[in-house]
Formats: sequence, C-alpha cells, structure tokens
Amino acid sequence: MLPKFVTSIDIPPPAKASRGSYLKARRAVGEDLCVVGVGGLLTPNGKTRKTVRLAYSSVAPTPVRAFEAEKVSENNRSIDELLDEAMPIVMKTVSPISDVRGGKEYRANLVEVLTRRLVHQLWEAA
Amino acid sequence: MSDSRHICAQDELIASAGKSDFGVILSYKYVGKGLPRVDAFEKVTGMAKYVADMEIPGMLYGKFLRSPHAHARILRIDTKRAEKHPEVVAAITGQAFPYRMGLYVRDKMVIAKDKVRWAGEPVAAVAAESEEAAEDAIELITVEYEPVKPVFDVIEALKPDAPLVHEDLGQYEHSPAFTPVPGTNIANIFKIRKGNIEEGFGQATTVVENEFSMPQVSHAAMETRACVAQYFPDGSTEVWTSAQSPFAVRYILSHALGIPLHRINVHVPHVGGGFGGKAGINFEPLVVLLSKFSGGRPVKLLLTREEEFTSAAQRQGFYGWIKTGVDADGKITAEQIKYIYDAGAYADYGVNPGRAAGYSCTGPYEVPNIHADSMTVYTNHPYGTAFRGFGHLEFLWAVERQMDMVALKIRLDPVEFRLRNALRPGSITATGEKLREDSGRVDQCIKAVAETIGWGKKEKQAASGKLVGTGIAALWKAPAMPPNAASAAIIKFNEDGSATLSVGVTEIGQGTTTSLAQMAAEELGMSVEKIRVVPERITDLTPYSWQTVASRNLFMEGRAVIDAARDVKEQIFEVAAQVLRVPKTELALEDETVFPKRQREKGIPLQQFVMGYSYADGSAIGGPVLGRGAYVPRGLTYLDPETGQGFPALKWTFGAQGVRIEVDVETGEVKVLRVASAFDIGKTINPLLVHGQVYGGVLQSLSIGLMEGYIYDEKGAMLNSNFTDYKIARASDMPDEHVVTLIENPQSDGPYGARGIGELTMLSIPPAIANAIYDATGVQMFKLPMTPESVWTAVKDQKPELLRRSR
Repeated sequence: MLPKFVTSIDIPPPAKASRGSYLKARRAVGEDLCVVGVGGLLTPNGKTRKTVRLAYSSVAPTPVRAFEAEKVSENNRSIDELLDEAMPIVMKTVSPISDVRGGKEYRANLVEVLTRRLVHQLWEAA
Repeated sequence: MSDSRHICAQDELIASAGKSDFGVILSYKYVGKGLPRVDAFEKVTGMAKYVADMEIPGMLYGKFLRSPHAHARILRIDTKRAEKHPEVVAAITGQAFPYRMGLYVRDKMVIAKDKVRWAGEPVAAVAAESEEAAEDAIELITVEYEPVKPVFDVIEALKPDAPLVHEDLGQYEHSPAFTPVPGTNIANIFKIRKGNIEEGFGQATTVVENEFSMPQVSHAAMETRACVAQYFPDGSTEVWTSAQSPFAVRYILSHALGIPLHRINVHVPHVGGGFGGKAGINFEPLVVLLSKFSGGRPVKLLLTREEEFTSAAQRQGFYGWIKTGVDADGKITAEQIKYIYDAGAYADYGVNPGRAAGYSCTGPYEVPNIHADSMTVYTNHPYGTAFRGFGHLEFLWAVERQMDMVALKIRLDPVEFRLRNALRPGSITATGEKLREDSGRVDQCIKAVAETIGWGKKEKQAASGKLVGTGIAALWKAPAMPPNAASAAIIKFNEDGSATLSVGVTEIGQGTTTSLAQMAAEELGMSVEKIRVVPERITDLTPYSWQTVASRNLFMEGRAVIDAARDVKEQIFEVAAQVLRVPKTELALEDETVFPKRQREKGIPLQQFVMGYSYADGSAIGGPVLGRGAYVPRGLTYLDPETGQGFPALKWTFGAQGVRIEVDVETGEVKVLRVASAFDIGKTINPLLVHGQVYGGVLQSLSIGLMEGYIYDEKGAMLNSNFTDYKIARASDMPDEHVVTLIENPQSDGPYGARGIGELTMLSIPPAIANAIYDATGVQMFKLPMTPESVWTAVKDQKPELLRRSR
C-alpha cells in the first residue's frame, strides 16, 4: 500500500452559543509546560439540554477526548450529580504517569479538580 | 504596586555626629540619593561586552567530556581518535594536571583523575578550531569506568560503612578555620558550645524538635560560566573570565598551576550575573591548561545551560534538626542544633557556608545554652559553592519554621515570641560576642514587617474561596570571610578635573560601583557625573579586593574609597595651602573648588590642582594627584575549633520579611499576594539600588521557596538540567505588592553608617511562606521547594478534611 499523507484537517466552528475553556496546571505562573490540561466545550442542545465535550493533555501519550464520559445523560440531575457519574469514566480514559513534572496521584487529582471546575465554569456561564 | 518607607533614627544620627569615624552629618549631596546606575546605559542598550561575547584572533574552543557515573574508578582513557580529528589541537585528561586546588580546602581536581565523584564531572577536554569540532571530538574519547558504590544522602554519608568520596582527605591542605575528619565524608565540622546545654533544657518547660531540608539549587545566572585564557610560552598567562573575584582566581590559579602570581593577569569585564556561583574559582585552570597544551593559543570555554546545571557548582543541599527548650515566659533556654550541608563531590569553597551557618546558628535570637554541630558532608552529587545568602537561607528556613512551631506549642503569638527572644545591643551571640550599641535592631525590623504585612488581621478566606494566610520570619547575617579579607581603592584625576575611581569589587548587578561613586563624589565635593568607575577589573592594574561576596563590598570598598578620597584631599590641600597661603587644615573642597573655610570667594577650581598647580609664569608645584585607600577588618578572629567562640562578624545586618498568600488547597498552588521586608541597613546610600536588591532578592528566594531544586534519578544523574523542568520565577511570578522599610540605625564604623544589604534581601521568604501556609491551612511544611504538588500532598496527609469540604 502506498503511504498516505494528511493534506488538510477541517475543524468546523463550534455550534452557536457554545462556550469553551481550558484549564492548565503548571509549576510556575511565568511559563511552563502543562502538568495537566483540561479543555471543555459546552453546546446548548435544544432549549434545556446541553452537551459537553472534554479533552485532556499531559495525562496520556497523546491528547485524549473523554468520549464515554461525555455521554452521561443529563436527566434533570444537578451538575455535581452528573460530575459524580462522569468522573470515574474520565479517570478510565486518562492514564497519567509520574515524571519530573508531577506524580501520577497528583495528576489524577488535577484531572478531577480541574474537570469539576471547568464544567462548573461553563455550566454557570451558560 | 510597591511602596517604601524610611525609618530614620534621627536621634541616634544626631547623637552619633562627631562620634562616628566619619563625622556623620545630616544632609548629603550624593549619598542617600536614588541616582541611576553608572553602568545603566551600556547594559540597557546592549553595548556592554561580556566574556561570553569575546572572540580573539587565533582563538580555539574548549569542551569537556562529562562522566556518566556518579562514582566510578577510571580504568583507561583513550583520546587518540579525538587527537586525529583534523580540527582538534589538544586533548587532555587528568594526567595533564594531577594536582588539587581549592579556596579553603585543596580537594578539587581540575579534571578527574583515577576516579569520578559526580555524574557530570569533567574527565577529559579538547581544544579545537570550532565549537562544532570540539563537540564532535569529545564524542571520540573513550573512557573505561568501574562503577563503585555512590552515596547521595548526607545522613547515609555519615554512617561508618558509607562509601568514602575522598579517601585521601587527611592529606589535603586546608585553611586553619576548618576541621575535616579524615576517614569519613566530613569535609568540615564546626561546633558551638555555649553555656550548659543540660541545665538549659532543665530550665525549659516545653521542648520542641523538628527536621527541615532543602535540595540543591542553581544560581541560574543569565551568563553561564565563561572563560578565555592564553598561556604564553614564557609562562605568563592572561585570563578573561566571568568571575566575581579576579584576585581569588589569580591566587588559586597560581597555587594550583605553579605560575608565579605576578605572571598571571586576570581580566573581568562586565559579568552577566554571579549570585555567588562565580566567586572563588571555576573553570579557569582547565582553560589555561587547554591553552598550554595547544601551544599557547587562546582558548575559550563557554558552558551550555545543561553543563551549568550538571558540571558547575551550585547551592548545597541542606538538612537541619533543631531541638528548642523554652520556659514559661516564652524565653528560649537551650537549643541543640545539627545542620548538615551537602557539599557534593568537592568542598573547596563549600566548607564555608556550613561554618557561617554554625556561628549564626540561632538566627537573630539570644540563646544562653547552645550545642550546635554544623557539618559539611561529601556526597556524589555535583559540588556546591557560595550562593547569595551563603548557608543562611538554608538554616533560616529551619530556624524560622521552628520559631513558629515553638510559638504554636506554647500558644504565643509568633511575632511576640520572636520579640521576646530577639537579639538586642548588649545581647551575647552564639560565639560569645556582645552586640555593640550600634549593631542594628532586629526587633524594629520585626515590628515594621508586622505592621506593613497586616499581622493579626483575621481575614482567612478570599472571595475566590482560596485560603489566605500571613507569615513572618526574621533574619541576620554577617559577611562570611577570613578575618583579614581586605579591600582597596585608587582615585586618579584627569586633566579636566574629572576623576577615575578604580576598585577591585566586580559589578555583578548589585550596583556597588554606583554607590561607591556617590561616596567618592560626596567626599571629594565634586559631581558624580565627573567620576568614572573603571568597568573592567585587571589584576595587573586594579587595587586588591579579596572577593566580591558576602555583602561586604559596600562596607569595605566604601571605607577604602573614603580613605582614598581623604588621601586625595590631603595632597590637594598640601599644594593649595602654598598657593592660597593658609594652613591646610583651614582649607575646604566643595563644588569642585578649593577655598579657605569662610573665604569662598578666594576659591581656586579643583581642576587647577589635579595635575599639579601652575603659576602664572609657568612654574609648577605638586604633580598628578593619585589617592589610595585601604580597609581591613579590625579585631576579627578565627573561631575556637572546640567551642566556636570568637569574633566572626565585621557587621551584622538584621531584617525581617513577611508574606500574605492564598492557597488553593485542591491544586496546592500558593500565590504570594503581598511581601513586606524591613532591614536595618544603617544608612541608605542609594535607595533605588537598595529597592532593586530587595525586589530581586525576594523574587529569587520566592523561586527557591516554591519551585527550584535539583531532581536526580537513582544513579545520581540530574533529570531537570534545563529551564523547561528546572523552574525559576519570572516577572509574572512577582508578588502584586511589596512594601520595603529601610531602618537606619547607623553603624559607627560603616561608611556613612551603612551596612551590607545584597544577600539579606533573600534570606527569609521561604519560611515566611511556609508560616503563612500554616496560618491559612493548618498544614506544616518541612521541605523545600513548596511546589503545588508538595503542598497538595501535605494537605492530603495532614488536613484531608479541607479537601472534602471544598469539594
């Protein structure tokens, strides 16, 4: 088979009224690589429903989307109830390691803390 | 935002007038003014040239091969393939120079011979026509090692069966101020035995003991270590080096290489930061040897940042254990102390921070009964050297944490506890020195910081939900130097009446040369703009200075400059007395005019005297005026090896620092919102420069407190030898607010009453932050750096309920 080259990547703009944010844990304010990064995009889905996308950096060999956790259904539950259900699924998606920038346990904590903060931030702003 | 306050002890200033060596007067023309730096223009515009910039015709490039092992015997080195490289001129090994060198202990190899003692130690070096060729050539050198058991931890290194880093310790020459213990890894042990330790603890109602530690950290100067050297066939040697202490470089080079002192000329142009790392000697002997083996061609060595981390000296790691006894009145009755400094592989300069910590071991408090051992211990880490604050940042981390933890145990306010025990004039220090009436006031510094940081305000939670806390810590330091460390100055004049001031202190960013120009202008009654401070140091021409270290130079070079200015005036008045036909004691020099006191209208411009005075008929008297000044400390002594008693301190500078922080317990992030610093500096010579020192020192120690530290793998290889993973604070890490209080209780023998300040500015930020973390969260920190991860871990271990509540 002949080698294939990626020639373009199409990133469609987020749906109308979407809100996005990125939280980055770092070792210095001035400048740093990411210790854990969490990106989120909240999109209104109809009048009352919302969909949330979650992506993580520095907790796996590549950036990862938490597709499974994103499927957690709203069902008129509070945001904290949703997060309580989603977080164990997120934790299965990521595989943080210990290295010179941070320990595994600390990174796992940051995934949890930053995800909760990010989703709250998006939810409350929506 | 920043703010500044001046507390000027006017009453004392008036009282000391006439008493002071310099007849303190109340108003000065240049001293005390915030004048811009004399080197500002060239540095800001990029005109200033550093050794890193140097290129000279015929110059070769040096590079060394680093040991991959922390501890190994060298069985064989083969440089033949490197020598055959068409661009290589010389390849050398430890065989080229099998001797030892050092500032205080001659323990250091220029290039490892027989064995390597840390991962990163130079084992061979080449000189080649280009940097690229030099890099390629060291890859062609093969070394056969036999690894031996390394030791990385100072506690492990003290055990009887620990591997020895230096088997021949007993044979090394050393200064009489130090006590190595042959057959062990102890490079120096310094003891304080004051009072009766058992009785002291007997009087205590509460005893508190704790352990603290900090890792090695890098100076991280912007200009890495750099040197160009040329060894001429007649044995004379020219060296250009990015160094703090050209005379120490020359002295150690001469002793190490056997070149007579007067045949070595050391040049130091502008220096791109030192912070202690360019004190003593660095790679100069290696570069001289490369030049010698290259047939006398000049050779340049400029370290990469990675080499700076792995192969150059850094700040030693520290372990401290303190046991404090305190009575029902909150007075400290006894203190048993063990400080251990991690020398790394060599301690040539590194024996001294531990000694300095030993004689200052209590911090700025009076402790009647002391049993202290301050040790410097060899390990297979990279070797340590001087670093701004010289042993004090380390032990004050322990002492000032301990003060808060003792205060907590006896339920006393930490500020009140410090004030009850603060050293005051008349107090007896650990070495038995009775503090002089004019020795500065730490109690005033503590009170000033308590006031400016908002001590006692009860706001505990920020609007963001983060926890807010306040912490305070005091400090003191004297210059750590030999009792006879000397300074000198020369003032010469130019035909137009302008003057050239030459001093041996190097300008490493601290601004001393500007302050010295202000002193010279003040003494000579001439405009500071007409005084040029020679920017380059050249040992053939520059007057002697022991080293640019220890916050000693404003004081000591200051005294020498004043002495030189007096010498100038004496010479000018000698001639003017004849011209004006009045006794020279009745002459004055102000506004560049020499005149009889009370007869200003008879004045003659200074310019007419500086090259000798010429009468109308052309005949002349006098000659070019050349003033010399010198200063050597008076009455300092070596300390007793068994008890540490004696006089180590030229002057003590006291201070205190406080911080207000917020802690995000879920991530462990600590943000410093506000810093307050107060120092009793005797007299502010240049407030702009003092503030610059304070802001820089605070940021540097905030960086060490929160971010910095060497990280190793299990074999002793450094894992974070780059600025990606070795974090240092940057401008955006600077606290939002900083209040500086300068207290001026003059030191009678200081120039205009001044004491040193440079290092003091960074001494107590880490413990103040840790004390504030406790105030905010109830969590105790014992180790530096207090990274977000370590703070979160401490919260999780000590106060898990904080995490549950906030979620």
